[in-house]
Amino acid sequence: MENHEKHLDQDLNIDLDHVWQGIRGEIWGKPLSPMERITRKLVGSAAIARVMMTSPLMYLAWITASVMAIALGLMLTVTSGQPLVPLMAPLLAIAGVTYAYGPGADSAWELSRTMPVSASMLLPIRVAFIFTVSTVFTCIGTFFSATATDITMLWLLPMVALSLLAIAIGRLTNGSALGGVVSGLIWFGIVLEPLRDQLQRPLSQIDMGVAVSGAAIRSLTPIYLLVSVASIAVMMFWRESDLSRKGRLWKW
Amino acid sequence: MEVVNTALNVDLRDVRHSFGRTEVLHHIDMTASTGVTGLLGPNGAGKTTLLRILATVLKPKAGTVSLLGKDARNRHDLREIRRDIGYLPQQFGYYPNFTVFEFVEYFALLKEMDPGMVRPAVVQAIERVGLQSQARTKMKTLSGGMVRRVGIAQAIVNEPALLLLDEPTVGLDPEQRVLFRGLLRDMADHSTVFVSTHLVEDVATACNHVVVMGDGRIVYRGTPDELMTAGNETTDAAGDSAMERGYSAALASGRAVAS
Repeated sequence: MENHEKHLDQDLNIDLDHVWQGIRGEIWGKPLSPMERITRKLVGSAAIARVMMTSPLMYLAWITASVMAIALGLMLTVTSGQPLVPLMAPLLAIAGVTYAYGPGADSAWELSRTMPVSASMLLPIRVAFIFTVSTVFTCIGTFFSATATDITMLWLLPMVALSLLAIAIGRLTNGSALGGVVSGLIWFGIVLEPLRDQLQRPLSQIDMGVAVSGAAIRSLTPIYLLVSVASIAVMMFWRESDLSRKGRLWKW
Repeated sequence: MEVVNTALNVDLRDVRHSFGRTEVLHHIDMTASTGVTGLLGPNGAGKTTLLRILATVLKPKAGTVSLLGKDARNRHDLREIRRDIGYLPQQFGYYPNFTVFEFVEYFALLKEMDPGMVRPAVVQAIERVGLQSQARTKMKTLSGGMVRRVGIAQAIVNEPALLLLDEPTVGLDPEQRVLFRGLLRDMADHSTVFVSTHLVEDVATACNHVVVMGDGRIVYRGTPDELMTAGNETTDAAGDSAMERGYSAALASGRAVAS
């Protein structure tokens, strides 16, 4: 039998070991989900698609935290009207996610830093993906409460837009953490700009609600959408230039 | 063991590194081509820092690092270099909820391997470290030695031209250690391998070259046989075997030169 296989191997010029390894790989590994297949096609990278698909798996706590934050935000908005949650949530989220995926808690951080797919690129990708998932949850929530729509606008939409911007800058600068810093500063700018007229007053008299009111954020919705679309375009352009550098044709 | 490729895969020139004001590497000059180099030295000698520089985790404070014929400071080159590196850190972190297969596959993808080649390569790497029966086991249920072998599997999955292993035999039982040395000898045919270890027997049986480090400096370089010969010629150095005595003598002479 073994000799027969060897003859087949030689006659057909087939590497049977490789074939069997492929079969074992299909048995040992999970089948590729339809979602991962689509993501691979969209982002054009099997590595980034896997990172996106496994992020919630690795850090289920972040999905839970998002749901909890949404619930808490809903409760505070309904009961007290205090704007602190939507005001601080994006920054807290950036800090928290940075810690979770940075050297602080990512157990494989050192290994990730030796990969051609830069570790500092992985961070904003994961952040954006998790918050996109959170947005979907919140959108589902809007079916049950009108207040949830405000929470979506006040927190999640800006967060997703700024995360995409961070990725775009990260791609342009080839994986620098600059994107995260710029996004954080932009959020500060968005928050501080409506408060410009009040900055002379004592802190206790500043009405922070103006900065993150539904009206203020809604007025910026087109900008958030524009930033999101532009960031995606930049990501696509970056890939195109990267591929063309290798002398390969752009394909979608 | 015959070295077949003489291309300089590692070329370090006057490399220095410090953490704060503490200088941990002093003027390191080193070249290496295909084969296995054992890095020996006491704790704090600078072995891990040197490996982290070779793995492109750390940028040296001074000096030039050329890996696989490319400049590690150049971003585009760095990406190319990283595709061809395998690295097992001393503190090997992992995702406990991943299976062995998923973990190795995850890093194979991050190494930008051809997606169509990934699964057969992952299978081969897992089989080479003898973990085929644990391929679908979650990492959190593995013993320390098995986790170490998963670390070796992810390091070799892309058949790296430069393989860097920081204390790879920690936690391995004697049988696995013997298997691991065989794996190293296989890799030596086509890769430049650096192994940091405290175990002189690993160096004696699997390495073509030995570099002994002390206080951030290279205090000895040669072959395991030469180190053993030096040990045989020494009567006052500490150690049970000739190689251990050679190692102790090399460290002592390095300290004498530094002071």
